Amino acid sequence: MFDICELCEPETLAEAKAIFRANPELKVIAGGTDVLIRMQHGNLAGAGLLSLRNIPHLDEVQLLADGTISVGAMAPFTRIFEHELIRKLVPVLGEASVSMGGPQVRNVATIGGNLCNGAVSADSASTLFALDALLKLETAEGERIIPMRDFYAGPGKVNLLPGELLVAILIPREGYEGMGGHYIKFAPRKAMDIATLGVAVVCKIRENRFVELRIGLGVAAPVPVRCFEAEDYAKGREVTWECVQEIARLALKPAKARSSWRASKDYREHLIEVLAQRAVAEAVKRGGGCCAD
Amino acid sequence: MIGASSIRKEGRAKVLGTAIYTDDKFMPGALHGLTVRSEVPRGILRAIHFGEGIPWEEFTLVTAADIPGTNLVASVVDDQPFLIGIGEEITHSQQAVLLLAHADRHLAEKARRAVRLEIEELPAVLDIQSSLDLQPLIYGTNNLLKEIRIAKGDPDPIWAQAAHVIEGEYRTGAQEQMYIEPNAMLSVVEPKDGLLQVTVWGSLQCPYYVHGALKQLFGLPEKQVRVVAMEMGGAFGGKEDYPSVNGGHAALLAWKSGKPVRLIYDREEDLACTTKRHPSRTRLRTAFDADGNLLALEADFILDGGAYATLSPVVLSRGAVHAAGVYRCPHVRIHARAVATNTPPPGAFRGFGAPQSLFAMERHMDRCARQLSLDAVELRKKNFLRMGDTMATGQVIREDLDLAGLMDRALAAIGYRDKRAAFALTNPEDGPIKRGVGFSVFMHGCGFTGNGESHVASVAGVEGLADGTVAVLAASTEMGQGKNTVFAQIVAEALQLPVELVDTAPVDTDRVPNSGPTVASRSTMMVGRILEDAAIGFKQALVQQGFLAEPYTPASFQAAVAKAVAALGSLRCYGQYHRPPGLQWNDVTYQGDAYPTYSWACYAAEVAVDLDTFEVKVADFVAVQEVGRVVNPTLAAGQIEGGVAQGIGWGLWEEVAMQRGRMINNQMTNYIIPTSVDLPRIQVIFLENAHAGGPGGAKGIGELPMDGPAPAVVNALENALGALRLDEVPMTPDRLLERCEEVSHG
Amino acid sequence: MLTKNAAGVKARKRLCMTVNGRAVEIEIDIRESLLDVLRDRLQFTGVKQGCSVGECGACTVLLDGTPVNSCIYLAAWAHGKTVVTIEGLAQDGKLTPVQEAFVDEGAIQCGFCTPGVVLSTTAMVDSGKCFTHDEVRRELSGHLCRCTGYQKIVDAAERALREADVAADEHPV
Ligand SMILES: Cc1cc2nc3c(=O)[nH]c(=O)nc-3n(C[C@H](O)[C@H](O)[C@H](O)COP(=O)(O)OP(=O)(O)OC[C@H]3O[C@@H](n4cnc5c(N)ncnc54)[C@H](O)[C@@H]3O)c2cc1C
Ligand code: FES
Ligand code: FES
Repeated sequence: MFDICELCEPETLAEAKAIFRANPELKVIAGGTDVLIRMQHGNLAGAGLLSLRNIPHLDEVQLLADGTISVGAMAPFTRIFEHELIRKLVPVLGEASVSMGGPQVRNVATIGGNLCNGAVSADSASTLFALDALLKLETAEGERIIPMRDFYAGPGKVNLLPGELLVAILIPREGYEGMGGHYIKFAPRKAMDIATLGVAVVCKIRENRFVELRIGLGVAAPVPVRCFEAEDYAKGREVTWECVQEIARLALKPAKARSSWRASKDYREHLIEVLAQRAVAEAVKRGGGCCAD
Repeated sequence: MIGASSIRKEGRAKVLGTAIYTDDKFMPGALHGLTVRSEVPRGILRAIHFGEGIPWEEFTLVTAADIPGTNLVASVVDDQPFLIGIGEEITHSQQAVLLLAHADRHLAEKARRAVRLEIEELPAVLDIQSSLDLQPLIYGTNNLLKEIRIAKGDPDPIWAQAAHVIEGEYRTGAQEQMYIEPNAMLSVVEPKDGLLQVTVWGSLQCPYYVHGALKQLFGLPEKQVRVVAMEMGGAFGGKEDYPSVNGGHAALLAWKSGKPVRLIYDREEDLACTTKRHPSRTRLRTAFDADGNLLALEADFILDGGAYATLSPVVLSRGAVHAAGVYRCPHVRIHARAVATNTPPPGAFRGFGAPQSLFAMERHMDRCARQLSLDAVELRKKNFLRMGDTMATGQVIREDLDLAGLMDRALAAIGYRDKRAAFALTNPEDGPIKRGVGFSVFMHGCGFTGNGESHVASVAGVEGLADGTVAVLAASTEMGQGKNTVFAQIVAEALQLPVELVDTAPVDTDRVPNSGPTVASRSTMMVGRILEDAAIGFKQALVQQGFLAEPYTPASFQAAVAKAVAALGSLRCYGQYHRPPGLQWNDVTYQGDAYPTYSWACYAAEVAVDLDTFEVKVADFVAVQEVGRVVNPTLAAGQIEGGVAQGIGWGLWEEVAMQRGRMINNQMTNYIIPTSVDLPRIQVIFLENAHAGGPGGAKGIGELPMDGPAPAVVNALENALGALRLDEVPMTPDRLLERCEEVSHG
Repeated sequence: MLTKNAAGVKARKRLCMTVNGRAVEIEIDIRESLLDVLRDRLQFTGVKQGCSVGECGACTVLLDGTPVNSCIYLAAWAHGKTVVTIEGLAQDGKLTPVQEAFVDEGAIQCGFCTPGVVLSTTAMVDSGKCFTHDEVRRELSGHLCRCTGYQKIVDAAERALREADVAADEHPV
């Protein structure tokens, strides 16, 4: 039994936006794997829910005419990692998707919920950071498209306006084309666990030089972060083992690791460096490069 | 029948979803019970405030003042109250203060959150060392819940003369049983024929423990209390002593409300407040001669017993008896203490103190081998117990024990020699993955320690049913270990019947006698043996009264039973425990036969350590054991596999994180037990050696597999990484990083 | 559309779904989880509750053939859907091959995780896909089992998949 005072189940997106404009206090619910857990723990007491589950087409994965991959906010993780387009064009997102939870959770949990929940451990967030993804947000008044990094406002906080819904995640062609990628989720157990650290790397390699490198980190700071210093350093450089090590060292820059009962600060910082190294090396390999010196 | 993998008796019901667990029992009109607990580790309860906005008049409320009988949970020592009253001392953070019940579960939960306790806080003891230092004094005159000394010979003169004296300190953390079914109780208390009748149905291992607790709580005679064990979703010791507490709580609410009450814990409450494995600290000191023969051993074994004695005295005694391990040693001194702290009391958990002391001993033996520049295999071979040797308690090994053979079998199965050689070549190479193999050799005493069996004097029986089949009458409960099946096999074998003709009667104190608690790996060996006697008595009764002629067929036996039941109304035959001749035990000196016999084992593990992340993966695992005759190979292998999984979990991941005396990772995603992708295939090998004491030669098996995995895995880690301070479990990545840095920073 | 209700009044909803092959139409409280409705109202107590927050998998049911944790699924969402619980597998008391494999391989101990694991295995078998050993372990990783160490569970699942494979070869559709 959840402490809910009402449940709205609109059948179209327009209807959902209209209800949400009229009732901005409603709590949006997608797969519910975060919302219902919070309720179970006594939070959100007495909330009214706006469920997006009856809205058709919000869960589709599509290739748009300009090469952008659009992932509907309501797409569950199982759908994403099994999807042909994702397997072929952005396997790194598939890797992140299959690392989350367990099968039953992945069958219901949505990528939109994962982002909007604002958790720093969200497995899709660091990958979408690295992919330079854009978020398509809509209210009854209109839509806006913002980059991932403008979305996170603080621990558990995202920049959604009152009455605003996340509709789709857009991965522009430049974000993924010709890129090698790798996601490492580090957690004590290999399923049903929250990341101690998430490292997502995508890179484009030409003649064994970095044309582009993007690194997203989860659980390294209060919000997911990009490693711009490391990325700038890499640009144009030849792929060597030293270069990868230097990139990993620089990847620590944006990190603000903290000690908790899960892991000490020392251990987290150590992980960031070694896993960044590993993820970069693997992404390079998948991008056609070679870092054997 | 014995030795065959008969199909699990209740397997069909479980796979159909028709098996009835406690929460599945239909009880119209039942109220939902909840418990209000103190959140501070120590203090004086001054007042209970009932918040606004709750229709309190609709609630059933029970406080200490309501208790009709004695407000103490019947246990080894009766020191734990069911509820803390106003003005009384709160001694841990999960102490029950108030019970409430309402028909609306949702409202009941709201009400629980609306209660505020006024507590005057007192300084608390939260770890072993503060308790030993009496900082402050919280229990009795010395903070000790129990102290045991075991002595053999005199180690004192040896230290100075010995070629080598090696010391070490080892620690193990608390561990949660994590049965998948949380603790659950139902109760009805109503007058019957003018007398109050208290009935509890629950997920419980030991119906007669709960029975005793309810008698004391209500001050009622035996006949007015009834306890029924429902299908149980796992226990592992976690439903051994705790059900006396929550069973009592459910009954109090049922009594006060006059309605049926369900008291089903949610997972977070279950994790925070129910019993765990005792955390431990063991200091070992050993003396060896120049050839590596063990001359003397001293063990200082300490358990964190939490706020009340509960089962700590008996957990301590098993841990103490196992502390010297499987080695022959002329001079032994074991000093064991269970200390009080302001934490929720730990209790029984598979292994019962032995995993703690054996972890220390088996880690210590590997460390000694390294310091003596001897091979860990050779050092053990030199010192293994053999037939005729005496153990620390003076118990003489009377069976033909071949631990070297057992160990060789395990080492061969895992490819120990080849792997050691191969890893010695590959580990120094670059690359973060280092590999190692390690093993542990250990024993587990079967049945209760010392005079436990004589004190309980278990009774079990068989009963003929109207359809001519036979029912087993025992209070042993089925928690997944397979007792329904194993008991049926034992009785079927004794009666020369197909196992289909034997089933177990529901475990209901109105129907089955007290065959003792379902603990201590005693069901098959101890209760099974009594059942064997009872079955033979049953057959003789049939023959003597002229219902059955020998030889007989299953069909003629069945017909005879049906006829006898029709003629006599009922036909039951009971057996009772008799101490086997020659067994002696002194509770005061801790000298004698601590156990009628032991199961023996060698477990070997291969690990791969990632020195980038300090993650440890168990790549291969072999479990070789001698458990007497194996009654049901499939069920027995299942016990070993599950136990090994728990042991690996304890060794690597399972950490109870405490803050201010309270578990803070009390969720299944935060307390890490292994999933299907975290474990290797476990190779299980049984070496059979019929032991005369148990039915058909069986010994105990349930707890043994918990003892060996942690030291085997950590010994393998040392093989992979070299000498580090690998003295603690769980050896989490964080801890391993710390240990590696100690070495690199000198 | 908007079922606003005065404080304290429970919002109710008609729920139509198919459970274990039978059409069910009941009035529910929107606050209920699918687990609550299946266990408390329809008495499908084979659906187990080990955590109520999606962490153990004991409450798994098949929703339009897909395993989901019913404890964190609003009952209202099941409207128009097909639900299978453990009670819906055997027909006239005859175990399915998956159930038989679990009994025969000794994959059941306390049995509390069993309904969920059997349903997830059934979904694998019904998908008609092939699974490697690692994939079988992965597909079962949303079920915590404390008794078995998973070995016999994985053995049973692989056996059921193998037998289904053979059966499919013998009777191609
Ligand atoms: C057992 C378990 C294991 C888990 N393991 C992992 C894991 O390994 N990794 C991981 O990252 N997460 C994990 N999670 C967390 C959770 O499953 C994910 O964050 C999931 O993606 C949330 O999606 P949802 O659809 O269920 O979101 P919901 O719970 O429905 O919503 C989450 C939040 O997003 C908002 N929201 C949802 N959709 C929209 C939208 N379209 N527009 C605006 N706001 C919206 C909601 O209001 C809410 O605040 C786990 C959860 C459970 C129960
Ligand atoms: S009860 Fe639903 S996942 Fe545990
Ligand atoms: S059989 Fe007990 S939890 Fe799986």
